[in-house]
Amino acid sequence: MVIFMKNNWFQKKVEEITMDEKESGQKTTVNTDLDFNVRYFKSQLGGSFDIKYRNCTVGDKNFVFVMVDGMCDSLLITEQIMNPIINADFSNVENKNIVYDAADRVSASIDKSITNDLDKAIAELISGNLVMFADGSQFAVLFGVQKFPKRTPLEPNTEMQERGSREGFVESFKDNITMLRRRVRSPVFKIETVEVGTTSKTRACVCYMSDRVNEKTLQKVIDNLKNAKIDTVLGSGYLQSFLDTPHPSIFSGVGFTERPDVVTAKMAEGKICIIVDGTPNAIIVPYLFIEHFHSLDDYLKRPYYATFIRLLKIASFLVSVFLPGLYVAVCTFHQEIIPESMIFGITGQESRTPFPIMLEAIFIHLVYEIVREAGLRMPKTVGHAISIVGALVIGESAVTAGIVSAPMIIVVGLTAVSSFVVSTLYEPVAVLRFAFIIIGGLSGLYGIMLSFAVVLINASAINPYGVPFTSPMSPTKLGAWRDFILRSDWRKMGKRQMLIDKMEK
Amino acid sequence: MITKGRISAFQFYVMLFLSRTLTTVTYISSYTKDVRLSDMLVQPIFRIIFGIIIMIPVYLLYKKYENKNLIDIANERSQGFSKVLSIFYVIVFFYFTVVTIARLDVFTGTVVFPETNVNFMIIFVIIFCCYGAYLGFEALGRSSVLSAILVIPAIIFILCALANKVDLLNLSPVFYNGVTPVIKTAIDSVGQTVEYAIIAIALPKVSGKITKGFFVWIFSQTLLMAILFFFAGAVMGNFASTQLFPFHTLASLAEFAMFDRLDAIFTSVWIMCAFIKASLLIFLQADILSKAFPKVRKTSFLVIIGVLSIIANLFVAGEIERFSIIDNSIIKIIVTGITVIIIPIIVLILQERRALKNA
Repeated sequence: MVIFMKNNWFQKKVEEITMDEKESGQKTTVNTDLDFNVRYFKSQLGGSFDIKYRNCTVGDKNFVFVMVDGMCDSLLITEQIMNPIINADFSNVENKNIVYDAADRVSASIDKSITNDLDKAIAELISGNLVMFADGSQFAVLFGVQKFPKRTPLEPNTEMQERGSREGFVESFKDNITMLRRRVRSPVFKIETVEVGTTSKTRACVCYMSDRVNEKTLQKVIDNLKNAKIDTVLGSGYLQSFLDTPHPSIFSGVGFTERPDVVTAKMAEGKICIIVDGTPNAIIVPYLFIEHFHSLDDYLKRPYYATFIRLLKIASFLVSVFLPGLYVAVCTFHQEIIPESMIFGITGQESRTPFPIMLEAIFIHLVYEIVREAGLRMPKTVGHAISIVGALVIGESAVTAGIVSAPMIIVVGLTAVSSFVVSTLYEPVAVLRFAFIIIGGLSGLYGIMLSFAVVLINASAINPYGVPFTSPMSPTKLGAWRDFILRSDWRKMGKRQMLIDKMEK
Repeated sequence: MITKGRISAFQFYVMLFLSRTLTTVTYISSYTKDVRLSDMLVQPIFRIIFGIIIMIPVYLLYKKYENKNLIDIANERSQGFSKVLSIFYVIVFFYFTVVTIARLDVFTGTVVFPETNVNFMIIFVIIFCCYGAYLGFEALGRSSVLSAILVIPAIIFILCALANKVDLLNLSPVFYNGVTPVIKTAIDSVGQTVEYAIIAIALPKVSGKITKGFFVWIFSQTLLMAILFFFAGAVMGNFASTQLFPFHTLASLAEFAMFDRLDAIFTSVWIMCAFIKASLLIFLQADILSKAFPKVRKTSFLVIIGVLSIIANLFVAGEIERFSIIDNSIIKIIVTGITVIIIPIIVLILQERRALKNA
């Protein structure tokens, strides 16, 4: 909102609005008749109990204040807005200038703007602003007095760090922006706001560092958001497909985080972050495959350990995707590659179960996914019961009953634990795992390798912003390898900034 | 000038390296009866020389018309001539696609799953390759580098696992049957290299150090060939020539710790390379056709090529006689000669004559 200080500025603004109105054609404008304005508001907003209309007469001048109960700071309205107006003397002020004069008496610390568009006034009202009409004036004044119930910033459960900050994003985008501002005290940190959702009119803040962002990428991101044809946006995930690669892919070129420190680090690399009002998840574009294996802790620990952890994460990812499929393929078609010392144990166990290995693997993984999904949605107090059911009934009892073999339980257990090491890749991992089990069971290693080649080319095709998803591996950018799988020392990394632009094809 | 859809010379030659690796690892010993494996160690030297010589016309064309391939250049002269060339190259690439997938099917049907009907596999392989081609040249280039990161260490791993089985006494004297069969095999090997024709067509889509990349490519793939033949000869001796796919047998002899066979890794290498090669060939066919007939969508061509490839491969599948007819080295040598030597020379001469007339 614009803070206005003097009447002459205000007069200019009024002239601009009048000109715009002439150019843009029809719209419902603020009427000099107070009743008309109130009637219009009521016709648009219905009889909603939380919309409060306060009439106020100061001398011979009538005012109407409209607000949404629960979205405004009542104390601020009473002390900083209504009190100065009620105590003012408007006897010498003409009716048409009354709103300017009244607005001028309100404390300068409050955001103020004017409009003659009733629909815009409604939009601002339901965003938590206070709308003031005055009898005889063709303009309404909007005061920024929002106050919502808010959650305290807490460490995100899904992105725990050992040494990083304990702060996470909240639902209020203003608070989120403040968290970023505190971390980047530089004028290069810029924000552009885009309204998305034809009905929800959700604010999306595009955050970047102007000295390193790629202008074309920035423009494309803003255009994608502006052109997003969507009715309601209730979370950042709604915008993912508008920002992602156009061809269908199992992976995404868009990343998410709940941590302000991660967003700051990504912006420092020249990436763009989008904070959507009402959601604690920030969107990061462009996002590379290797970034799923990076975490803030890597940069806070010794380089050799960070490298070790990254290798461990990559290994876990491969295990969680391929292990069940490979197990099924090897046991079904390629028993010759199982070492002699293991083959009797495995085949002995498998021969005692009634189902083919592929069906057994699908069954046990499905059960695992059901238990996991139930654990996510159910009250925490019942969580222990689910753990017992999962561990005892599905694990122990199924093996004892001869429904599932013990090696299969080991495979599932290892896969399940591994899949949480890189939690951001859980969605593709879960789907690919099932796909590889089926393919491995039908066509062995031959099918698995062919499907892997397809997954590889599918991931290679992701390139929504000119930086391929598989960079810096392919296209090979050796300069970026100091923070790829290997993490160099800060004395080396700090010398030259690593920007996302350098990873273009 | 093409700006979109270009890949780096590194990606392009890695793609060609994988493509040629497939031909090397799927070497069928019965095609080189007169030559001993030891001779195959010397054969690559001739191969490099022939490979460089046959690429001279393409190089001259590229130097003169940097951002155009020979079909584009022919188009400047006559649209009809350009269309004829387009269709010819499409047929050539289609032929090599069918041969590539047929070899994979022969391998699968004889070695991996001898008792399984490979028809479904043919269909799936071609559908997947068409999907790869649909994703475009850039995606193919990028995935080639990723595949190479898996393929090259896999080959090195297999060779390391064979190191303790190398016995130099297994190698027979070089030129045991004279020099002529070795030279013939080198010509045969060059003739089987569709990658030369790919270079002639795809060069405008590549940026960077193309000439340097070509030499690195030709030396590296020849080196790989020599190393593989050395291991095959030193580990298996003359037994290798009795095997249909000697390199697969070689891989199955490899041992690592408690694992007695590493042929599964070899199969993986084979499949990755086959996927890249077939996808690249299908992409080039669709690309050439979409340029020659711009009114038809590229996707439609991909579907048509896919269907025709399935039909052709199903016709060949399971019939070793049919396979040996289409996998004939004479046909391949003639086709490579026409695509890489004769057509570029004709285009070059026509352009020179035109330039002289205009002058």
